[in-house]
Amino acid sequence: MKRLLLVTMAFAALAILFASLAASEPPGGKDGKDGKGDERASAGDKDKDPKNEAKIDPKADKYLKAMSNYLAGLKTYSFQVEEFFDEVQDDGQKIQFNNERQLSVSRPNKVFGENVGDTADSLFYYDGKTAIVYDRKQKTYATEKVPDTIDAMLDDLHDRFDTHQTLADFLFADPYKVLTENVESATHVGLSQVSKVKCHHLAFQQRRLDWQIWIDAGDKPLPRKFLITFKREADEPQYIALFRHWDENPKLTDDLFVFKAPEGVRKVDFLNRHAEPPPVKKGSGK
Amino acid sequence: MRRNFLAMGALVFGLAALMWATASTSAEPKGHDGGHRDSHSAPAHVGSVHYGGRPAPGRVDPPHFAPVTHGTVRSEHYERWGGYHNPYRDDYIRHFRSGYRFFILGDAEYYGYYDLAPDCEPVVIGDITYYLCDGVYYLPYIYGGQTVYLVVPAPG
Repeated sequence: MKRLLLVTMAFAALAILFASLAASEPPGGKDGKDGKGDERASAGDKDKDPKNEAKIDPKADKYLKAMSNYLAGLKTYSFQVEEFFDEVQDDGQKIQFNNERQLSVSRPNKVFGENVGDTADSLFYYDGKTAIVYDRKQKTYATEKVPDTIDAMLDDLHDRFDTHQTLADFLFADPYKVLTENVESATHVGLSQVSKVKCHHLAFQQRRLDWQIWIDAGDKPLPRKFLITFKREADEPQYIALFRHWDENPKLTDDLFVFKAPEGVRKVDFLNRHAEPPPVKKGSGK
Repeated sequence: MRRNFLAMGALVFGLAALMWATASTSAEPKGHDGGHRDSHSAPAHVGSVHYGGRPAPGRVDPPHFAPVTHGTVRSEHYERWGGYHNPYRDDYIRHFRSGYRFFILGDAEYYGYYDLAPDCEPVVIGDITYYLCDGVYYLPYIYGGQTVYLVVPAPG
């Protein structure tokens, strides 16, 4: 009988322990699949440099470096992409949207972007002092003083306003550094064709996402296709960019980077990501 | 006696299972309709390894707080479960039209839309132009590269 009592008590203790552990688990589960419970783990990994344990295929590294160095060496360049990305619906169904995007860059401090398609009709201006997002569809724009280099401007906009330039990885002064900062593995998949262009197909793994890139195998190691899988997000949505056109020496006038507000558009604020609005009286929303 | 022990074990296990289930459901924040919240953690349209691989926006301890102009309807953050409580839930949110999005900023969540309903009217109060639709006031902001119309408390 004693034995039975002990077994029962042990069983009960285990059940309670299990329940307590479940209750103390952060929302989103251990792996932070929804991206919310992930923070803690990420902060804890700060001391752990992924590169220390990274499994890097030297061929993948070589071709990525070649592409990055080539881009870093361009003073002015522009490119057009057709991009596709998934939006996961409430019921788990993935709906794909697509946009046409054009980016023009004059290093070190000018960027112009245009994005037209299913989810946007917007322009982006950066002239070395000010960043402007103009939403053509909604006839609104926001302007903000920003740092005087592309790198600092991109991080500043992201940190303060959660406004990032899509394909920013290809705008930074050192694309290799940005692309490899969290890489845990790199693989040279092989040669592949992207729109009849022979490319080196490379695949990379990071903690939060996997990505692949197809780099022109010819004289100019330009990216021809780029794919990101957000593997920590529910149903693992993807972003795909097909680079349709590269111009490595475009004639970009200063006017291109300066926004002139058309008549009838409304100036609004960027929504601050670290918002803490003034307290409002309960019930005043009636 | 043996039956009593077994019954006690089953009861404890049942209670534990109930605690686990309650914890799971409480930890999952839901909209007022119990629906899926818009994920702003790293949506696929981020299109950047550098930014897409970063921790989820809004869950980072901010270095400082900066005010949003003209207070928006926000939900308070429940520290323990990561959920949210909105003081307007009963008397304002019920007027929201479907399709609203959650925007998690700092330590609170906000409600908004990517466009306005066709019957919205601009209303100037003080020096601020609001949009009024079915009793709900909105203010436009640029967020994530596009316009969002955040729900704000009725002015005045």
